[in-house]
Amino acid sequence: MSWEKELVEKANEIIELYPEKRSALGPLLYLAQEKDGHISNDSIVEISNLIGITEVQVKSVASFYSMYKEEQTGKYLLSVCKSISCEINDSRSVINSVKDFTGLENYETDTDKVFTFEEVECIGACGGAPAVQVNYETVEGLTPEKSIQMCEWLKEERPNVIVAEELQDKFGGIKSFDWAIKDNTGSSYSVPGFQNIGTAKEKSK
Amino acid sequence: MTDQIKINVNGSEIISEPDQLIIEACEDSGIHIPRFCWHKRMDPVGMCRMCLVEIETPRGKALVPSCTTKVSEDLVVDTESDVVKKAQEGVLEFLLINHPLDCPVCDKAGECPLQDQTMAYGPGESRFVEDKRHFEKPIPISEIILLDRERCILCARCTRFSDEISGDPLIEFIQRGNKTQVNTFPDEPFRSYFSGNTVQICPVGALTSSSYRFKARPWDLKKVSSTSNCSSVGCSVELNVSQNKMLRILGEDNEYTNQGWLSDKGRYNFEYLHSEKRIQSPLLVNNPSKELSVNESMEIIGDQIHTDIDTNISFIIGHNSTNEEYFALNSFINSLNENKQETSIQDLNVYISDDYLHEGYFDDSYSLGQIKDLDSADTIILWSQDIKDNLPTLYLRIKQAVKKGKKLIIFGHTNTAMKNLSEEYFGEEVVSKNFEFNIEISDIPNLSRLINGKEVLAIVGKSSPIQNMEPVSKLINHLNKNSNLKILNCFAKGNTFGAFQNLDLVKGINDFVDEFDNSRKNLIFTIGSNPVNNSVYSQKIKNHLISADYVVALDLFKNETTELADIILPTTSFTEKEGTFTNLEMRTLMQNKILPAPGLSLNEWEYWAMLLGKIGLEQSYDSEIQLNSLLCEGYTNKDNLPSFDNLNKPSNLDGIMNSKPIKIETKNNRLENLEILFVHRLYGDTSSQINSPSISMLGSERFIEMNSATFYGSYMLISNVVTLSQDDNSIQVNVNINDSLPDNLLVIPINRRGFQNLDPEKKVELEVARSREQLSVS
Ligand code: SF4
Ligand code: FES
Ligand code: FES
Repeated sequence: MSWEKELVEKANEIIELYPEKRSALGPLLYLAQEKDGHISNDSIVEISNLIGITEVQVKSVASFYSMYKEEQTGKYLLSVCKSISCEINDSRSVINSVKDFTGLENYETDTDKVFTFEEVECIGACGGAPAVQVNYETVEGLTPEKSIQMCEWLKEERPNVIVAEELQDKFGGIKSFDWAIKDNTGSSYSVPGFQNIGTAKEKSK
Repeated sequence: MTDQIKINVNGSEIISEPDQLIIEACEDSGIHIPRFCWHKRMDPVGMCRMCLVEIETPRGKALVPSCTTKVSEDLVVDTESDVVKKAQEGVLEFLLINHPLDCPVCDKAGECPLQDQTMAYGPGESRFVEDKRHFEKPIPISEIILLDRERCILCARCTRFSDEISGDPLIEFIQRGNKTQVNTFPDEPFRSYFSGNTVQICPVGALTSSSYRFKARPWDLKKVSSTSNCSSVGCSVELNVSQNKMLRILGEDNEYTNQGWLSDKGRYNFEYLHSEKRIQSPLLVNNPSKELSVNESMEIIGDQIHTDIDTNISFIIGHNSTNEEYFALNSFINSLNENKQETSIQDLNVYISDDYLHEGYFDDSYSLGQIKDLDSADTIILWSQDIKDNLPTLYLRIKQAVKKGKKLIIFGHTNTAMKNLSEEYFGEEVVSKNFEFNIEISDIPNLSRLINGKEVLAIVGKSSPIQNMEPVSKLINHLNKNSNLKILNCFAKGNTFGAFQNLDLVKGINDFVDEFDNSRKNLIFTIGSNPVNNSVYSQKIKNHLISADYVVALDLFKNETTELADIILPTTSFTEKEGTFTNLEMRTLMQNKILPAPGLSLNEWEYWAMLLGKIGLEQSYDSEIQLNSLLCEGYTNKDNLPSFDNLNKPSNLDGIMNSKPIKIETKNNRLENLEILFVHRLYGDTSSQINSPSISMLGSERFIEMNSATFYGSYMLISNVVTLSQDDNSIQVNVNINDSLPDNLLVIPINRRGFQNLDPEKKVELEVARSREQLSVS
């Protein structure tokens, strides 16, 4: 068993939410991703046992979606938008400065496992373009300079929990609109912070 | 029957069933629509778009996939319009973008739907000049199947088959977009009993089998339809031969039996036909081993029959003879019976080498079912040995029936592989380890809800070689009273039903053990059977054969039984003889000859005929055709006789239902406390499998099963590799945990090497095998 008792319990709670066990596959893959920073084969075996489908069926889903990572990510997953609205607002320079700072090409992770860099399609923040996500927490209105500052900050501070609002305050610019709910939780690895499956993290301060 | 409906295809009217897909309706009326992903035995997915047709809709003409669109009254379909042609060209041009076009080295070339449809419907040229996608060329995805991902057109036939039809989805699409590929999970190979079907239905050469790769071109193959001996389902097959060598067996779509599918054993168990180890001429076994002419061998055996010492003759038959051969044996026995005085013969008995024989439910108080009743029954009752291992294609039919909503009830501790298909699995609370009821039948939870007043098909047989059949009879009578019951007697092996129908009386191998009388002279014939292997009575049979005065073995190979014989007569296998085969629903099917018999091998019936001659008796036949017409005389229903002529009529290619009265006599055997449940696995160590190199390794793993309570509790094991011992025998085995089993029951495959010497009535010891480290320390 590669999963600790606690994680298995959490998985079982999630499975309970669905009428068919196999429907819990998506969230369970996030648990696996949060555990190792990628979907390991050990986790696939574990999930297949938990929900009663074969390993290769789990693998099929895990390898289909790009938010499930096959390779281990760094502590911070930098997803820089390259779609049209951001492109018009010069995301190219943001992309280039992040690339320069980290020395990474698309989908690469540095040797210290601090950063993983990826260029992504629209992340739904067009009003605040150009936009970037750090561990799926969004910052809008970035400039090349601010993005480098952000990377430096991440590298030095190594915050355990990333919260969108904090990033926005520190490094963001124009914001598309204020989110209706004030969101104080963030995420701690390359997994979006979902309250219902427990990947959302409270920043302790 | 619901009303048929009219649709208009390419300007002419055709009649269709109401719920049909356009592609099916057209097919039934002889209009072919090209396709890759659609397969009539699987659910449609609309993956490949090759089957696009134009239909008229209220908003004008529209292109739709004909494999996912159902017909409706007065639907207007065009399968040949310019738009359709353009679409077909487009689909093919795209499919070929990444296809390697390595037809010259591809096994599928010549029978490849991609090749054929590109010729017929393709654009003729490609505009694609970029690099193609590349994958490592073929990767093994199991011991017997290879996958070339470059050739794959992602139709999902193979992955759907493994999920929908065989229920072991060990292959799936991995990745997305341009990288999409079929693959297995690392270290989890495509080990399915049915994997070969994916090779047959793959519309390109992406999936190939190790046994056929680079062996032949389809246009060089000689083909004939036949019936497989693999199980008593009698699957329809096409035999493919080139230069007198069997190269491939394909499944044929017989609506009533296998519906196109085969188990891998039925498909790949043929290389033995050409093994160097085949016996080529009659052999004197000892003093020292000597080849004989056929005539010499007949003289010798004739003398053994014709003596003045009181002699008992026993025939231990197997299940690979044709009906004609069983019939010839029966008339041989009858002639001897009639001439007992002159020959001093006392007793003549036929025993079938099958541990699972029981008297069956054949008499008039029961109505016999057919496989197709699976599709019309409300409830299916299963009490038998493992169906998936012993009647693999019947398992597929049951799985389909369950998918269509039929309720499956399983009794006992076998068929655990089908537990997930069942509505009710009645294990230990209901059925004891000895296969007797723990509670009253009327108290079985939910049973009455599922059977009372319902259409029930019961598939019944022995679950264990040692089992009292009374509880089963009780259940059958209960069902007979409370439901509309049909029975499928489950004897799993090859042409067992042909033996029942054509021999006046068949007894069990346990009866041979009991009845063997040492005070008489004993002459024993073993006929295509190897009872010294594969039987729980092996040890006793062996002793009897040793003490018998003369043993004649008719077989293809030397084996554990022929070793104890005095003389061996080489016989022919299915593919080397013509004859008929009767399946478990009493459907008689044709077995055709396509290969010459090797060396001096003869058909069994030829030996019986010659032997009669040697002892001065007449026989009334000298060909299979004559035997076939003689045996047809025994059927009471004369309208539909399974004669060669009738079976070869196009309307009868799926077989003919007809039956003769059946007489089986065997003693009920039971044990107070069964500790070992012997089972037969699909793969084992039969001579045919050992001598078929492509699949021989599949039967070599030795494993036993038990539940985890037994593993940890009673045996306190800490490793899955254990040493199993009983008296002087000890074998190293792997333990598989199977929690559907009751406590303290060990499941042991009797058809795997090393288990034959175990006595089912005695306890076995299990001990953790010593690890390598320990060994090196000591
Ligand atoms: S391997 Fe063959 S059957 Fe499977 S998806 Fe590819 S083309 Fe279809
Ligand atoms: S295009 Fe960048 S967020 Fe929409
Ligand atoms: S056959 Fe209809 S889409 Fe493939």
